[in-house]
Amino acid sequence: MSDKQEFEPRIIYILCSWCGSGGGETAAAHHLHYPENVRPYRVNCTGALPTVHIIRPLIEGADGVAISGCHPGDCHYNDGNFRARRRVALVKSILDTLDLEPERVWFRYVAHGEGRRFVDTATEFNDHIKKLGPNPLKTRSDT
Amino acid sequence: MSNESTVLIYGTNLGGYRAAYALGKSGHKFILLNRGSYVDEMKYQALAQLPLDFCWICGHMPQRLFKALGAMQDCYNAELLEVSGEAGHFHVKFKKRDKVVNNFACTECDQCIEVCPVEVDGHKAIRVIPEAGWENCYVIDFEHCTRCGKCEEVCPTGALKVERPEEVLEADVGAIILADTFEEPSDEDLRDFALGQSPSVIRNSEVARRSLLTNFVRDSVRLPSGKIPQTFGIVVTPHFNRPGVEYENYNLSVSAIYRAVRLKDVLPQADVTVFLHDYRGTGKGHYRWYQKALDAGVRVERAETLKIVPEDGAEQVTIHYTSADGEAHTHPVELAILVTGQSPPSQMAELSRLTGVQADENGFCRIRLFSCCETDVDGIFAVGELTGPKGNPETVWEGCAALTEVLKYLGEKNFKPAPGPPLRDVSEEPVRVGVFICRCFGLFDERIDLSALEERVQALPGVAHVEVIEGCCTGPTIKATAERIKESGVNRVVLAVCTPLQKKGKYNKAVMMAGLNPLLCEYLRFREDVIQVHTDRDKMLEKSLALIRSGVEKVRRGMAAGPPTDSFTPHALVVGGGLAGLTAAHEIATNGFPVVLVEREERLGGQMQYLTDEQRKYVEGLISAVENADNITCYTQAHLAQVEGYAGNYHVVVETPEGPVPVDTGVIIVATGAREYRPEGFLYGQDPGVMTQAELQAKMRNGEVVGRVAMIQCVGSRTAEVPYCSRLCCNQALRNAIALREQGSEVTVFYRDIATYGKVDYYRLAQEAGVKFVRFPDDHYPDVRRNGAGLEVVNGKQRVQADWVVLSTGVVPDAENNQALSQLLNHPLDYEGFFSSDISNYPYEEAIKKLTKPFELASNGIFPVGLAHSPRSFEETILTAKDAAGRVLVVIGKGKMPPPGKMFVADVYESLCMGCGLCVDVCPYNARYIDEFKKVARVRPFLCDSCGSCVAICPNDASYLRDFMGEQSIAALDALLE
Amino acid sequence: MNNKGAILPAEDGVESAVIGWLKEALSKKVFDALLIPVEVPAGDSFAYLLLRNPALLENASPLPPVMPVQGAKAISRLTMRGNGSKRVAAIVRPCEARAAIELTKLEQAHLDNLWLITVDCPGVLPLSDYLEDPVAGAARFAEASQRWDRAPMRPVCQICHHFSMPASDLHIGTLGSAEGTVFVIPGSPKGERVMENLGMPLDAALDDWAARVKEMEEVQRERRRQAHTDLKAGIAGPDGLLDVFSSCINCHNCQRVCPVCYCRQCYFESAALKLPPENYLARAGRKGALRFPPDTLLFHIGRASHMVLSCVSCGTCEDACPMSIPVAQVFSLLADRAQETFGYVAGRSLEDPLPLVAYEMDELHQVEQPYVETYHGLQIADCEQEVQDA
Repeated sequence: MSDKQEFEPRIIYILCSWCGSGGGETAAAHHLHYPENVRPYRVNCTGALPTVHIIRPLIEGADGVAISGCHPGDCHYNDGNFRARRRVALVKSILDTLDLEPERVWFRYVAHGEGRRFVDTATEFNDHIKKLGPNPLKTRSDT
Repeated sequence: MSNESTVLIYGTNLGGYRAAYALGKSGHKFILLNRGSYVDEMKYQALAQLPLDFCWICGHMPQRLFKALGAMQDCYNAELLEVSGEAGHFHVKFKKRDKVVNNFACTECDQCIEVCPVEVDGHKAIRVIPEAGWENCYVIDFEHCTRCGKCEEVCPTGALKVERPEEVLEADVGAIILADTFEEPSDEDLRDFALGQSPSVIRNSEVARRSLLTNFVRDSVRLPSGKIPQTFGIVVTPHFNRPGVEYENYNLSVSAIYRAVRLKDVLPQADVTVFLHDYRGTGKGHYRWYQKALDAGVRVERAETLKIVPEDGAEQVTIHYTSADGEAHTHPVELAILVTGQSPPSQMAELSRLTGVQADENGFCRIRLFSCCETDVDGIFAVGELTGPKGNPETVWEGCAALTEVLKYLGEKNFKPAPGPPLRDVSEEPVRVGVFICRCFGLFDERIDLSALEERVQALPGVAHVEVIEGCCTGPTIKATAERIKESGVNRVVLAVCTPLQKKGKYNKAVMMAGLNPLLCEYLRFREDVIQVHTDRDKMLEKSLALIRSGVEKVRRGMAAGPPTDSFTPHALVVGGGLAGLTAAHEIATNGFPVVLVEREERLGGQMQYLTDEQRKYVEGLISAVENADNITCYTQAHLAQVEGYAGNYHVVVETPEGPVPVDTGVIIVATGAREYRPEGFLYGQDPGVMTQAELQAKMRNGEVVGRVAMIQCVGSRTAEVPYCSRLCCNQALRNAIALREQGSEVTVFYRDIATYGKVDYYRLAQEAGVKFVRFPDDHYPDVRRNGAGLEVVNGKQRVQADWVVLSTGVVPDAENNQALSQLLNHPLDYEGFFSSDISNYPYEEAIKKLTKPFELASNGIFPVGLAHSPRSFEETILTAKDAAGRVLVVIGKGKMPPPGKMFVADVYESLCMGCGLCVDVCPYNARYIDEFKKVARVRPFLCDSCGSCVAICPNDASYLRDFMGEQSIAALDALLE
Repeated sequence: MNNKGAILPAEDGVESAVIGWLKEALSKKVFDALLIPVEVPAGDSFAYLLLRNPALLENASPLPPVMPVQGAKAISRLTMRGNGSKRVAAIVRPCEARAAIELTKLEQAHLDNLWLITVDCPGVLPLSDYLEDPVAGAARFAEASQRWDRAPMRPVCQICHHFSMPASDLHIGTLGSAEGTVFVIPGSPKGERVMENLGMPLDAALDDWAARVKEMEEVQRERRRQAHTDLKAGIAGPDGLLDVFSSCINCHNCQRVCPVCYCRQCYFESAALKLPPENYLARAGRKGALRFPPDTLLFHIGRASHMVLSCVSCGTCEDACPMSIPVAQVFSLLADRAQETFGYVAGRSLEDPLPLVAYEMDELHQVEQPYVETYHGLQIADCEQEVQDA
């Protein structure tokens, strides 16, 4: 248990440029804090996120990948988040079938104004991954 | 002397913003007078009365754009002092006092807040307004401020001045648009609802605000004790308030129902009751919410009278109401949510004095008959909630419609964005990446060791140059940064700065001034991602390094490209020659663009049989104007046979009696109208005494009158077959009922809900005139029978004798024609069978976001108007047509056009593309097509909004966004993992 | 779909009955050409021939013992650039027909003038088994298929539950037919037209066929379920999975032969994954070592994310794997689960939109992470309780 307490996960937080990033901006404006090991990666819209970009970090060193875009109906481009949801479902289905811990991928909407929700997501996901422990794939050399 | 070209916009409602945007885009400068001390201090309707909690921050973008480009002069704390002159040559005098913090120079370092010695209610005397989430709105609470000046001293960019002088300015303008904001009823106005008297009563707008106008959260209904209530009463207050206190637009019933549905989403066990007199969600789309609420277990109580009584000290109130049968009830709730209406504008008298515009009988600004925004004074216009209660879509439409009415008073265009600086061709140079780290005038140094960071960045592979810069968001620092980039000789740039959405333009400016294409640069949100959200200095350094490394990897693989352009045929095609089509054609042609009008019937005018004499006269005037216009070609007995192309470049074949005619056009306006519902049952068609409202009007015009008239509402509306409220019928029926009463007839109206809307309260007038109202249940229409004494309407046990029975029939889409045209144009129909006007996949009537989104071509240059779009009154039909005309005028004159995202568009590697068409299927803007000859996908650049749907669906990266290609993303992701 | 078909005499076995029937169709100009597997002159494999001369039907086989090339690839190559003016009948296995339907949705095939003709399929032999001794293989196949014994067939064939009528235009039903006959079953208006032109009235009841198919389908479904359960136990988790794929030599043959992998250049061979040495060194640094060629697991999982929604479990990938990795079995498992998520069955119908092209506004809420707004990172236990309650 104490090992896991020490463990600092490497987390990729994929954000859309509109709401997801906006949540981060609002959080910053309100000086809300979240763990340093959560690293943002921006895409224009979650609907522009290819499945491989979720899978790649999980093989190459991330302990978890969280994805945040606009709430349903809020997508800057109308339907990108609905398409993202399908893609995340696909990735999670594959990971689940292969017992590769689909719970290392989170998909949660965060709106521009939701700074609190943004840091909560980062923090909560970090805690969640800490509890899961390190991603075994990231230290496998035979991937 | 030619007319002035600038426009003065007084007030900041959504219609005003939209008009400002349209003016700026079509090349006119404007002065925006904001009565508030920061951008949205004066809440406009959408903010104050948002029916839906959604994020639409992007809707604000255009304002920033025009300020940056120089088209907009925005004045805060403004007051209009004097207006003289006449249309085309107004001279205006106004005063303003600048914002305490000039947000174009502010870096949001918050040092002013830190040094402020005054603390009030848990915050400093200078603070950020959180509700206006989209801009750095720093305000000073002058009541408590001691004027010590510390904040001013500490401000690193001089953006802050505590004492701003009041300035009086004068200007010559061609026209004036009054766009004053919405006013909510005061607590005193709502005293019958215990507002302010109990912690258990709250305004719906406050719930939305607490939800941050985004996503409804449970916290927004939490009681002061911390308890989450379990019983809710949602009350539509204008239905029960004293007359004249608050006015209702049709949003309110929808808002109440929507709130109830969301409450049930979040608290499924909660007991939620909506109290209203009638469900007035008129128009297409809104009735579905009512059904959804019932399905979700929401109780909808129709009350005659209602009052809320507080309970001393308890977090509970009691709702006292009487039901239709006159019986009194009480219903205790833990939280009562008040959905409130709109008060008449308090500025009206002052505006009348200054400008001569007149108020109507309810105190709203009066508009000329059959115009959208013309006041009684030539050259002065009024838009939005200032002219009366209306829905958000109508408000926004008025903004664009105003353009068509304003332009005729304006002189030559006087605004053109400056061309960008020339960019260097770096394709032959070896990649040299420069990393420029902002110190934000000292803010970043304090939080992180920048020199250590600099050193470590220097060691990164591929980095040729690292430098710490002072800033890159104020005029001088933008220039300085450009210089530094130029001097360093790099050809790729990573700027570690802060990038709230509004600053991207500044960074683009800096790198472009240095001669670099922005596609070769990456802007990191250093402040948002590191400085302001973390505390551990070592870890912050690590994270900064990872972000920079990722940025470096990205720009190393960047590829420069200029903005593609496409031509725009400056012609318009209007399908349908009724009121909507005639209006749109006339407005576009008047502004100098040729129009082709296609009408199915032998003559123009559409369904004139439904019009009043006055309306008919108006349409006849339009017909002759259209027929006599040099640049309008009319084809009657004609229809579209073939449509090819896309926004800006349509090739259409019109089938006319003389044979097919090819027409090239930039836009297509769909004004094909709708039909009246033909009723079945109720003895209609079998008994001469049973008729529709239109038939009744014809009889009344002939002077026929009878003693007893019964009307049945909702015939063919809100049924399984026609699942929406037709919007028009209640107003029309009640107008007729009042007219019949004036002739001495007895009138009984059988109804489910009376859904009148607009400034004139026909419901109240009808009640006052002695019209009797009888409610029937949703699922049980009254029967009509013929007996010896005449007609009889049977509603349950109740029987009413009548000489005439008038059926209020709704508007139904012309299904067959719409289907065919929809396929031909590749433009979707909505759930109800009308043309959907904006690509809106969510079940709201054109969510505001879509309307404010400044992308005229989002619907591929196809603009449905009038009844083809939705059931609309005569005036609203004109409004939709003028709105479309306004939006067309913004783009049609452009000749060659770059995409909205300039060089940031999607593109295709032809060598990889298999032409599978997945990208074409998912593109929300119709910006892609398959080149059949080469069998590869292609992009229509100015329809592309760079969303990237095409990128994600493409399995092998043949589709890419120019600013973030596949080659860049994997490398950037890997680098982030270090 | 149809409850009536026609009966075709097949005294000399299914193969010759079908060949005879096709010959007639060709000579009556009902079809202008056939796309049909024909034994190669060397007698050790089968290839698709676009056949116009009925005389050359001699060595054709509607049910060859192996599937060296997935028929949908042949159909795609023929019709990629559009519907031809000539009428072609493609005699393919049900899984090949299903892949052709997927490819049509992807604009890589056009079926307006192409008739998909399928036969109740007993499976095919593993290519490597057959190649060891083609004559013995053919005999083994004939004997096993006679008894509907799938034991010698490929592992994915052993657990195939879509062995009968897919969305083909015409289907030859051999199950449940009276001795010496087979059913000809139309599956589309297009197929019905052909039967009309051939003067084949739809007068035979198909109940027996349908009952046999259903019965066998149930057995197969259960086998599939069981096999997938066993398979999953073997590949579960990083250890199991990497064990299975550790022998992969990155030849990408599985991708090359896959009928639904239609890209000109596979993403996993693209510039995006060809990175400078520092990248590999950094990754080797993180992992301690990096296997070369790299990205084996990314290739398999990533490729799965690109194609499993259209995967028809045809098994061609496994036949092509030089390292005998059970790739088709793994992908059949992934495909079943993924397609189920979207209520989609690859190749079922041309009408079903590809899952990643369509979406519903109200769906898949299970992937949306629930949020408890009181989470501040402090009262984790409380929050968990709230999440559970929610």
